Order: sequence, then structure tokens, then C-alpha cells
Amino acid sequence: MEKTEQEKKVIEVLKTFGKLPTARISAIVGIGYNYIKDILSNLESEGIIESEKAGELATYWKLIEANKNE
Amino acid sequence: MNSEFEKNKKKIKENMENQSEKDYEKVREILIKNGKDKHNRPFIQRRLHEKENLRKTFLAVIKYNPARISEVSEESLLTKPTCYSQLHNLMDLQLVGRVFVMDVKNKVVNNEVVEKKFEEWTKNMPEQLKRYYLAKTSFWVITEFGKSFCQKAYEFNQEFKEKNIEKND
Repeated sequence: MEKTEQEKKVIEVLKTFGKLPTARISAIVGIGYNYIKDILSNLESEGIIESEKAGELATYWKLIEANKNE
Repeated sequence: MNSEFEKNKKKIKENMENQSEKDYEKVREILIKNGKDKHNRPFIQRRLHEKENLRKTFLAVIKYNPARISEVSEESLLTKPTCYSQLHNLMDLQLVGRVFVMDVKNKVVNNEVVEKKFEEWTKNMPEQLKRYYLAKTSFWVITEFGKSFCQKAYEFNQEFKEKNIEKND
């Protein structure tokens, strides 16, 4: 599957920062919350990133270690 | 002038009749591929005209640029959750951006106005509370596309008003 420009941006951001919540990813990339959720869930289903729950509401996203060097 | 106008009108009507729904879908697909389906002026103007809450929040952000969420909700007389959802809709239209103070302090994003406003807001607070808000707060800023959109809309409005005044005279 070819990645869109926005998906590539998200992966770059996660590479530089490591672990980030959804709101901060949307702020840095400049895409709305609803749209970025779709992108993140797509990347998760492809096995590129994984989510981590922190507390009741916040979800953090990070790259899976096998994909870090790509 | 009138004959030209009528000719154009006829042409548009003929085109409308000849085009099928599939043609529209093709154009839409191309726009989505290029990522330009949401970022044209008529679409945004229509959205702002139709949706009242969206318009209110956008006006509040223009007034307090850069704006905190509490300022937006006070100005627009809406609750914070609705303000958040509307601001994210505005973000999808690329009219508004979000800047976290933490990113400004870590020099990920360069924005002096946000830094100044945050320091003004927290100057009378104790250190601990200041750090608490530093980690948490974000400001909503109008993007350059948003600014140009506002300017064009204002110019269009003024022209429209002048024409109306001339007609009435």
C-alpha cells in the first residue's frame, strides 16, 4: 500500500518525537482531530504504529521498533 | 452586456444538462487525490454561511488571535466541548492551527506571540501552577491561508456594499 503525504508526515513526527498523544500529533501535522484519528487507525492496522493508553482518556502513539529504521 | 450574459447562461444550462453524475464523481475523485476538495474559497464560504457555531468560533479566534479555549468559549457563548469540535472542523479547512506552549518552549515551533501571551497570562501565578499550565495549554492561531481568506472576504463585502449604495442613490 502506498502511503499518502499526510501518513508520511505522521510517521516522520513519530520518528523525531518518539511517543506522542493524538492532540499533539494533530497540532504538529496541522490536520483536524477526526481526520488524524482515521490516519492513525489505518497505520495501526497496517502494523506500523501502536497505541498505548495513559489514564482513562489519553492515548499515546509510537512506532513499532521494527519500523523505526525504515 | 445583457446578450453576453444570456449567452453564458445558456451555455451553463446546456453543460448542466449534458453532465451526468459520473462526471461529477470523476472531478471529485481528482480533487480528493490532489487534496484540494476542502481548501477552495467557495466551499469554505458556504460552510461558514451554513454553520452558525463554526462561524462564531472562527470570529472568536480572529478577535483573540492567538486564542485560548476559554476565551473562545466566552466570546462565542458556546460550551468548551462544542468549541473544540468546531475548532477541529476549522483545522480540517486549514483556517486555524493549534500551537502547544510546550512545543514553543522546546523550540519545535517558532511563535513569539504565543510565548508572550502565555507569559502575560501566567505572570502572577506561582511557579508550580505555571509549570502545570505550561505542560497543558495550547493556543489556537489563524493560519496564513485563513488570513488571506478573511482579507478577500472583507474586500468582497466592501465592494458589494459600495455597489448597493450606488444603486440606492
